[in-house]
Amino acid sequence: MIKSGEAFALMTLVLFAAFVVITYYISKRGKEWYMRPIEALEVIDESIGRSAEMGRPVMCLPGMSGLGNMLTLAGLSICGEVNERAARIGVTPVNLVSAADTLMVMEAMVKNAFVSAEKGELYQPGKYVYWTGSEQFAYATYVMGTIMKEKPAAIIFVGSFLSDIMMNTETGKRVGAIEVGGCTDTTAMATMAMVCDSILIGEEIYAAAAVITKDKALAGSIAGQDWAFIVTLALMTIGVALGLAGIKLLSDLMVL
Amino acid sequence: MVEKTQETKKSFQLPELRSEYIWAVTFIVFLIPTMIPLGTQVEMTPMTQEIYNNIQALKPGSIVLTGGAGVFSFMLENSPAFIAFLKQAARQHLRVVQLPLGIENVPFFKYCLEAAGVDESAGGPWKYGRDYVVLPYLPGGDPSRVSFLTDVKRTVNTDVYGTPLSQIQLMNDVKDAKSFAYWADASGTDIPSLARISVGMFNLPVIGFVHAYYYGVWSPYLTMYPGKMWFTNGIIGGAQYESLMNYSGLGHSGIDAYQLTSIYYFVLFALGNITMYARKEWKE
Amino acid sequence: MSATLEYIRTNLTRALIAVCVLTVLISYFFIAPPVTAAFTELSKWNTNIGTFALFTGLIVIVIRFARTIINRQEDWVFCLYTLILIGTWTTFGIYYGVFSDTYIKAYYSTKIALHAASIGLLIFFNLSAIYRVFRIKNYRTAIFSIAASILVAANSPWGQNLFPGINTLGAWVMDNLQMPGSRTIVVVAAIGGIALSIRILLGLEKGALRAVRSGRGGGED
Repeated sequence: MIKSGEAFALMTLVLFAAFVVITYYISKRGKEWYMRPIEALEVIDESIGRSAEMGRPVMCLPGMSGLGNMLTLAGLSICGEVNERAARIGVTPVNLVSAADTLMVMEAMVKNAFVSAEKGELYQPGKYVYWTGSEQFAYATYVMGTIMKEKPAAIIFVGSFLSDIMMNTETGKRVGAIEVGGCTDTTAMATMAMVCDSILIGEEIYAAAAVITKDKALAGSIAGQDWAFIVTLALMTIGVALGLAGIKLLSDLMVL
Repeated sequence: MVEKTQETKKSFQLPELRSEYIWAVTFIVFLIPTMIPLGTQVEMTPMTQEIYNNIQALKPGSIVLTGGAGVFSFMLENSPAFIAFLKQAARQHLRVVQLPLGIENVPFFKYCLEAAGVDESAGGPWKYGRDYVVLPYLPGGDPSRVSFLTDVKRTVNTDVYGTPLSQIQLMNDVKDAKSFAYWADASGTDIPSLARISVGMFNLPVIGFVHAYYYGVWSPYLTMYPGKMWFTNGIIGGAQYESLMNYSGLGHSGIDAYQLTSIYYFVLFALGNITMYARKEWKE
Repeated sequence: MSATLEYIRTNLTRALIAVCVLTVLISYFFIAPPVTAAFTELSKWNTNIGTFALFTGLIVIVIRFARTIINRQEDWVFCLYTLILIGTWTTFGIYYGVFSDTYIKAYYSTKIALHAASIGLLIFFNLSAIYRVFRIKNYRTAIFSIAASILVAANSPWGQNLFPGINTLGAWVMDNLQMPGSRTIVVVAAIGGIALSIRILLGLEKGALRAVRSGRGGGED
C-alpha cells in the first residue's frame, strides 16, 4: 500500500524514469535528436586548444563534495573528458579534489584518460591529481595557490561550489585563464555568471555530462529529461490556472 | 587600396586599476570603522521589533531551544543578533537548551555566551545546569530533529560534558517540543528543515537569525507560516537587535563597515564604467 | 581472472545495487514494515561504509604524502607538516575529548580563526570583480548591474535614508526577479539530477563511473 501523500511523487518518478529510458533506447535505434549547442562545451574545447598553443596546463575542479553529490558525478564526467582531450594533444591536466573518495575515482579516471589517449606511459599516480582537504576554504586557498603556481590557460569549475568560487575565479582571471563554470547553488552560480567566460546553468551541467562523452544514445536521454520538463511546466500552468479559478483538483491530486 | 575614411580622436583614457590598489583601499575602508566607530543609525524593521517583543512577553523560566547545523565562521554574521538575544533571554530570566546539529555549533554557542557575558563566570545571571544546558552534537539530520522534538530524553542521554540529563536541573522540565517556547536558530542554514519539522509538525515557532542572503531566499516561509516564523536580516538585523537592547556591539561595527563599503561599491561601479567609456574612440 | 569470477564480480555488484535501490524506493513510497526494517539496517551499513571509506581515504592520503616525503618530491615539507598536524590534532582530541574546553579553545584559536580570515578575503575579491565586471555594455549587463546596485543600497543605512522606498524596491527585486530565477534553477536541477541518477542506476552513464570498469568505457556491459 502506498504511503499517504507519496502516490503522486511515485507516479512522477516512474514517469520521468520511463522518459529517460525510452529516449535512450530510441536513440540507440538510430534516432538523432536535435540538441542546441551548449556554449560552455564549445568554450571548453577552445580553451584546451588555447592551452596547447600557450604551453600552459588546463585545470579541472569537480567541486568540494564527495561522490554522494550528483554535481560531483557530473563534474567528474566532464573532467574525465577534458583530461583525455588534454592528454591527447599534449596539454598537462591539473585536477584538484576535495573529498577523499573523489580523489580515488579521479586518479582512476585520469589514468584511464591517459590510456585512452595512448599516452599511458606518461601517467604517474599523484602527478595530475591533488587532494586539497575537505574543508571549504582549505580547498579555496589550495586552488588559489595552485593557480598562481601553475598558471593554467583554462580552468573548468563544474561541481558543487559555494562562496569560495569567488576567490578561485578571481585568481584565475589574474593569470589570464579562460574559465568555464557550472553549479546549481544560486550564490555560486551568480558569482560564476559574473566572472566566468561561460557557464552551465542548472541542468545544463547534467546534459553536458552526457553530451561530452559523445555517446549519441546517452545524449538522446536528454530528450527524456526535456519531456519531464514539459510535463512539469504543464502541471505548473494547469495548477496556476486551476488555483486562480478556485479549483483544488490538482492540489488534492498531488497530496494523494 | 586602403581609403582614408574618417579621422578618429581618442578621448581622455583612465588606466585600468590593478586589483592590488582596490584591495589596499578596501583594507583602509574596513580599518576606519574598527578604529573610529561611525555610529551609523539603523532603521528598525517590524520583524526584528516583533522578535524582541515576543521574547519580552515570555514568562520568566520559559525555555527556548537554540541550535542548528552550521559552520562557525559563517555563523559570525548571525552572531550579533544571537548575542543580543542571549542578553535579552538572561535579562528576562529565561532558560536555554542548546542543541548542536553541527559540530561547530558547540564552540559557536560558547563564543556567543562569552561575548554576551551572561554566564556567572563573567558576572552574568546564568548558571550552567540551572539556566542553560549544552547538549552533545546530534547527527542524523531531519530524523534526529523529529526524534528530539518527540522525546528529548530518548534521543539524548547526556549533556556535552557527559553528565546524565537526570542530574541536570533544567532538563527536569524538558520532555518534548511542548516544553519549549521557541526554537531560536543562529546557524542560518536550517530554516527549511525547521519550517517543515518544528513549525509544520510540532507547532513550535521558529526565530531564525539568518544571513542577509538567506533572508531573501527564505522569506516565502514567513508568508507560509505567519505568526510562527520570524527572521533577522544578517548584520543589519544584529545591529537592530543591539539597538533594542541599548548597546553597540559587533552588529554596529559590521554596519559601519558595510556603510563605507557600499559607498566604495558605487565608487568602483562608477569608475569601472567611466574607464570603459573613456576608452572608446570617438569618430568625427 | 576467470570468466566465472568476472561474471560474479560484475553481476553481484549489480544485484546488490538493485536490492539497495529497491529497498530505499519501496520503504520511501510504500507501507511495508519488513522493507522499512531492511532499509534501517542498510542505512546503518551505509554509515559504517561511509566511515570506513573516510578511514580508507585517510590511509590513502597518508600513503601519498609519505611517498612524497620519502622521495623528496615538490612541496614535501608541506606534506610532512600536514601529517604532523593530523597526528597532533588526533592525539589531542582523543586525550582531551572533542568537546572539552581545551580542545574547543585550541580549535577556535587555529582553524576557526583561519576560516574566518579566509571568509574575510571574499570581500576583497568581490570588490575587484565588481570593478572589472559591472560595466554597462549591453542590456544584460545593465540589468545585472542595476539590480545589484539597488540591493546594495537597500541594505545600507545611507541608502535607506536617501531613498525611503528603496527597501520596498529591494524586496520587489528579491521576490519577483531573484526568487523565480532561483526556484527555476532548483526545479530544473532537481529533474536533471533525477535523470542522471536514473542513468547511473541503470548503468547507462558512461562518464564518471567508467573509471571503475575494466578498460575504456563505451558499448554495452
